[in-house]
Amino acid sequence: MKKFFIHVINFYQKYLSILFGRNCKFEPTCSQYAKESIEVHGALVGGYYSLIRILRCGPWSVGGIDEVKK
Amino acid sequence: MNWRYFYIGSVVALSYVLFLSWNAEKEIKQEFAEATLIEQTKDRELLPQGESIGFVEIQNEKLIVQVSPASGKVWEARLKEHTYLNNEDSQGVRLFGFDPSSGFKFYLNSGFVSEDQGFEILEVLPSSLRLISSDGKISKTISLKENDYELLVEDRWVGDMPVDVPTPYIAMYRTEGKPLDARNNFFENSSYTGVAFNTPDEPYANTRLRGIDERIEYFQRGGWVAFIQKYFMAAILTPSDRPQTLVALPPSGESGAYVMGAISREVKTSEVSAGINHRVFLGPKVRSDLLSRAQDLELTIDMGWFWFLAQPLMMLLSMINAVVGNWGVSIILLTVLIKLLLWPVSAKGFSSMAKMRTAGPKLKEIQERYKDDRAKLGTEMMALYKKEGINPAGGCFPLLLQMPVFIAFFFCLRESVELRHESFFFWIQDLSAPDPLFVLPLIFAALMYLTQQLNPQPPGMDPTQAQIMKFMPVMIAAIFIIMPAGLVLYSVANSAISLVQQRAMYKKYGASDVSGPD
Repeated sequence: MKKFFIHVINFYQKYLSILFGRNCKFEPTCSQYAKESIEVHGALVGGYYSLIRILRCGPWSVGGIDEVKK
Repeated sequence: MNWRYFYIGSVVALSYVLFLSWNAEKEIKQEFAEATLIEQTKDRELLPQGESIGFVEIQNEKLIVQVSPASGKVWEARLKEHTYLNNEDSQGVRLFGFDPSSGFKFYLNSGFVSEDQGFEILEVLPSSLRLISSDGKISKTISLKENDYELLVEDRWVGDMPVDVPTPYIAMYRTEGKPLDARNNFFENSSYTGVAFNTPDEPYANTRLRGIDERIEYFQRGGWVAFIQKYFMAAILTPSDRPQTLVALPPSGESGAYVMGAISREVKTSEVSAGINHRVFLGPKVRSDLLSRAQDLELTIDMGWFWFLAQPLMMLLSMINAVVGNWGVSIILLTVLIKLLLWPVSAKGFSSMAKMRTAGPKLKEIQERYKDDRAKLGTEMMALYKKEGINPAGGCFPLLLQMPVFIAFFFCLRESVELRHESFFFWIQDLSAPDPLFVLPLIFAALMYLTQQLNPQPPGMDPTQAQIMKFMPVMIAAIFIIMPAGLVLYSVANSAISLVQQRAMYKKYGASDVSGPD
């Protein structure tokens, strides 16, 4: 499960993200954050954190550095 | 350029074109065969099982209906304004109908429970038919509402009233199988096909025919039961004040037909002798029309996961079309409208992209320097962004939001009968079917390629990635070849507007001269 999601994100980062240009307001980017978060917290909890992160990443946010909490 | 891919691509494209024309040919032949079949049925041959004499035809502006005067069954209902193929000479699509070769049947019957007997004709008018049972007890009137998709059925007890008041019913009988006159393409068969009940607890309780393995019953007042298929449906609408049992039954005996119907309860002698009336809707699923017909009937239009986006989209699209009168143009105008609403957000995004492009070399330098120190790289990058005034304004969420809009648009186009057989211009004669000449997918691929040239170069791209990126437009075009032309039209309009906006912003920030990813 965990591995599957990480593979999906890897594929996205490699081949799909280049289509959109850089949009993320954070560092690391949302996809990188999701990958690390899933690695650390597992697919479910990590996925939940990633979803919250994506919801935070909009025109209403200031952005900045936001690392995965260990 | 690798010529091998070009050759492979051409062969694939050519075989697809051949397949399409073969399919079209087949459909025309099939239609011809069916037309002859109807003629033969009129000659009292090839009648459905249990029928011995030919049909009586009644019609109004919207429907042509074939009724068996011997059994009182409605054996065929054809929609005049919705043709099978996209030309005027083509026959209308059938909702009720039968196919002797496959054994498929879908018909309507009504009357009184356990009173099954022959009828004789009393009166035939262009749009109505009156029958009387052989024993003179029951009279039945089947008529078509003027200029409407409704068939009206009245069953009246005219003989001596028995001790137990007879129980009126109306039901549709249908065997498992693909709807009649459904075309063979992928999208034609992907919509929901099955039964739906309107009940007080669940306004849209749906199940596929195969899922009915025992009697399903709902006791209630009013409500409807419908058989839904792509674009069209047949629905029994019951009077809202009368106690009803809505039922669905698995096939009994060898007929193989599932039963979907309504049985009236607690009927008084006076009601039976005055006549029990039912409305049967046989027509296209147009939201505004269904809203006025019966409560919750519009729920039969299944807009998929993102219905809350798809419905407003369709509403806007209909409003625009009411003014311009061309669905293709309406799709383009709707895209322009969405883009204008999002203009401030996307303009900010493009301006930071433009700045990022000019700052590209510096960014690369930082990335080279702090390759091994992620935390430091992050801070340095943020510092550079701040200095250069780069702020990826949109963020990931708006980007992700585009996907549901696209999916909603897809479902909206797939489900909307309004776009069936609607032409745009020149070669696009049907927005709900794939572009026959692949022009739109190719335009999209070209636009995508140009957009790629403008986007800032992603840092650290390896050769495989670069290769994939080059082929991406081709791959997307290949997927779009089988998508409805309306959807591709939306995508083309969307990326064309983006491209123009992006170019304008780049010009403003002097980023046009900096070389692209190549």
